[in-house]
Amino acid sequence: MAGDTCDEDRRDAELHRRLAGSDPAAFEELYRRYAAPAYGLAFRVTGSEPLAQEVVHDSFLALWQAPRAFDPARGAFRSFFLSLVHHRAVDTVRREDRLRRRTERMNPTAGEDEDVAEEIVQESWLADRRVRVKAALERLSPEQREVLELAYFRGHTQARISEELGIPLGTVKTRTLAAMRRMRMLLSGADP
Amino acid sequence: MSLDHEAVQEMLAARALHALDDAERVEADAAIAAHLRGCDECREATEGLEAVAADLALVAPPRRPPRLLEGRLRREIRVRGPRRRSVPDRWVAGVVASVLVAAVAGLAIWNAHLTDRVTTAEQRSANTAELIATVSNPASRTVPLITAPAGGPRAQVSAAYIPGHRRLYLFGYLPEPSPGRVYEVWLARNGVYWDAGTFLPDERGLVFVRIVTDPRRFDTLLVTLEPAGGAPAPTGPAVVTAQL
Ligand SMILES: [Zn+2]
Repeated sequence: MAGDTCDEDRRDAELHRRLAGSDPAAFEELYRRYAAPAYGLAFRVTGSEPLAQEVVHDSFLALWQAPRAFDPARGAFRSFFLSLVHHRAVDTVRREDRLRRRTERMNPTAGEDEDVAEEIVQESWLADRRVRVKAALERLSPEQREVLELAYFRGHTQARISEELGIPLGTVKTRTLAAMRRMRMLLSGADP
Repeated sequence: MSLDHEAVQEMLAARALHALDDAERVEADAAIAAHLRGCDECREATEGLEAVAADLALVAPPRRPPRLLEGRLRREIRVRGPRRRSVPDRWVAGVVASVLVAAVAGLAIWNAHLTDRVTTAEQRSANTAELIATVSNPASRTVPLITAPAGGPRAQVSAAYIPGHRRLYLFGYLPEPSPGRVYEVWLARNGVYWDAGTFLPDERGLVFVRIVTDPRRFDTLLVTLEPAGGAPAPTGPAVVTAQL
């Protein structure tokens, strides 16, 4: 492991400070640090390499053009940037969904691409945290995990989740909040 | 708008997961902004919920993007330099901050109005939240308007929008027009002008105008001085203008 999360957050903060001064070397280092988690996330949400590339490209370019969108007083750079990538991925997948729904009626067998094992990389400093987050997810009830999965990784709105699962919107909302709170508790170290 | 903590935190959770559509998000932002102002409990919860959402990002297996992408970005940042927009960050941040401070203090600053005169406290805080959300979005564009002589030395207005969103904001400062006159906003394409409404700045000269339209449909934005009640086509002197 290359240092703990706190050291890494400090490193990010320093790189971001240089980025705000338009330092291309800082940009390149942030790219090296975040390209793989960002691309992994974008691919997981969009399920498509070209779309994931578009998301990652646009996210890094936005970072370069408007570095002050990140306010170091409001948390870690990692959280800010991956949230930005996620937001763009979700927007992209919703846009594509609208297009696809029109074409699927004519061509109902849309293939899925999976199995990308050889492309997977493990960067050590996030690996530890990843293990903890996955373990926390495992401890949620299947219903709680399901709403997080559909919202976060499929990019579905809560209204759509309610439709798909055939449960009231209010239930989706309370279940999501309960799931997030439990994750928070599990990840902040306090015992469940 | 009196929402209980649970309802607000449900919105915060959905928002952190990006599980709201654009319209829902704007609505949620307004409600959240109004509530957080007076509630430490929910403000604290915000951080926690956002942290959980950020952690979820790590669950996706990391994947190396194609090398081409890095090369392409490297070229692009050299060509483009840091941000093309020419309004100094600090100026935009300053205007937004002063608007926010005034809104939080509950001052009636949003008396800029478009056709209807909806400027209740809720509407004002919604406007503030929207403007802040817009200019802080990395995808947003901020276009400084060029001041014509009729605008006077103090005039300073910018337009902001997020490509693909049907919202265009004008914000900044304009002098009080002479009695019986108002400012009128025009959007034009190929020389054809659409009336986007009339407004007056507040007593301190602050301007905030929200126009519901896709700005990409137009090539020019123009503000003129017109007789009270507005004009069917731009007749008065141009005050500020921009190419979109
Ligand atoms: Zn509260």
